[in-house]
Amino acid sequence: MEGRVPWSRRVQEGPVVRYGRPRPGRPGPPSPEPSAVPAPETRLRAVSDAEFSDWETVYRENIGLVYQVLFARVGNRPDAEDLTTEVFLAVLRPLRLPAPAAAVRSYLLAACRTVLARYWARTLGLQVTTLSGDPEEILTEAPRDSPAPQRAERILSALPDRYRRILQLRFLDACTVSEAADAMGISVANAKVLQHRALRRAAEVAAEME
Amino acid sequence: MRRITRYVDDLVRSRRPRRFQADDEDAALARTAILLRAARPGSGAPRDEFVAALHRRLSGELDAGSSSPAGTGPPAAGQSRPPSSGRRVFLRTATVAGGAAVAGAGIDHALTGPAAPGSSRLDPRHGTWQTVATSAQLPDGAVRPFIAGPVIGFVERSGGRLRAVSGVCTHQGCKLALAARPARLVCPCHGASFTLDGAVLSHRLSIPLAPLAHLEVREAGGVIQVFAPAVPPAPPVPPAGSLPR
Repeated sequence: MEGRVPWSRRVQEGPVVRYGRPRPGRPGPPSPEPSAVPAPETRLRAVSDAEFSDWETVYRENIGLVYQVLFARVGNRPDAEDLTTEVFLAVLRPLRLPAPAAAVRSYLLAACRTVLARYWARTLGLQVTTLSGDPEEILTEAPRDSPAPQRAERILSALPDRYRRILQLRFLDACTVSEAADAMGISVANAKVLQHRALRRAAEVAAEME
Repeated sequence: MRRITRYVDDLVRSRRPRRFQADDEDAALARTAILLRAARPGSGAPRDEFVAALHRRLSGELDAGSSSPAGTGPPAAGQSRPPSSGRRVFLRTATVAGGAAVAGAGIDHALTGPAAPGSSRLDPRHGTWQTVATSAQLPDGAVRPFIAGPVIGFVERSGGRLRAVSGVCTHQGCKLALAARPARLVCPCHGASFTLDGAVLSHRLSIPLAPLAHLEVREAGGVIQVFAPAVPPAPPVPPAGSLPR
């Protein structure tokens, strides 16, 4: 317990408080409609640009980000937890501290990249997802700034209604096949077929978007 | 086709997918399934239990290696445990302060009460009115997070009315995040969500979840204030030497 810095203190004392920021070079989704929520105030996440002085700080400040980055690329919790463990086990022992936060993040990211490549090699035999891009950008993105939901939303919105609905029910709302079938008023067998077709179509849409 | 279907099914059901030799088409489907699965609310945040267990495992291993590079000895929080303590180790830090009085509780957990349904109201006996925003910062329809003493929360102005609720999940005390469309408060730990009024919107827990506590809120002189315990909380002990008998 005593190793933990209360959230509010981190926010107040952290050297830089960054809000969800526009990514350079990417236009992003069309500006969201003026919602009830003022954007700047909604994201309060301290990003330390200083140094990490001990491993516990490295761990505490990065565990969520590393997990999120990996989860977004393996899509399931057991594997995301195992890979996160692998990354921290590999990184923390040889790490010389204190070290600049940016250097530590790059190092963590490099470890994520390696661990992920090995994971795909031993599971599906080819690199289904990869980890590329500027380490700072990836590892400092606040959890809720993750591009996954927006991309998913863009893909879903490009699908025919029934395809979108079945994917939404199954993937986002965590419905079982039979719950999804009930919700759509179709048989379980039809729901399975529909889901497969919808996913295939979504994959095509995703490929077109790249 | 069958193997990729099973793979996708595992993902949707949050199981570890089985291995198989995929071709390019399988990979495209798997990639899309992962993208969609990762967009499920709350799925990007690690479980508290996992974070605690890995922390323990790391302290064990790093202590055992003992030559901590630049003399940064980690606090001996989790005595060297066998490295295989695995993912079942529980460290319930998040609930420690669960039933504690607000004034003395840790900031993160100030408002977690017993998880029993029924609305609650936070009326500290020894509180002060604390400014959390200026009136201009909170136009109608806006929401702002705030920190007032040991309390974190969200204040909203809607239809001309002010409302302030705790910003801490009533399950295990995780900090809630504000999500848009529809505006709601989402717990990153287990995916529970609450309305801005504090009511439980959704959760996948097997126990009933209490709504968020409300705080008293007022507007005066161009600022918005909530009534919250002051920091540091006033010591409840009487001055020494009182009690003449």
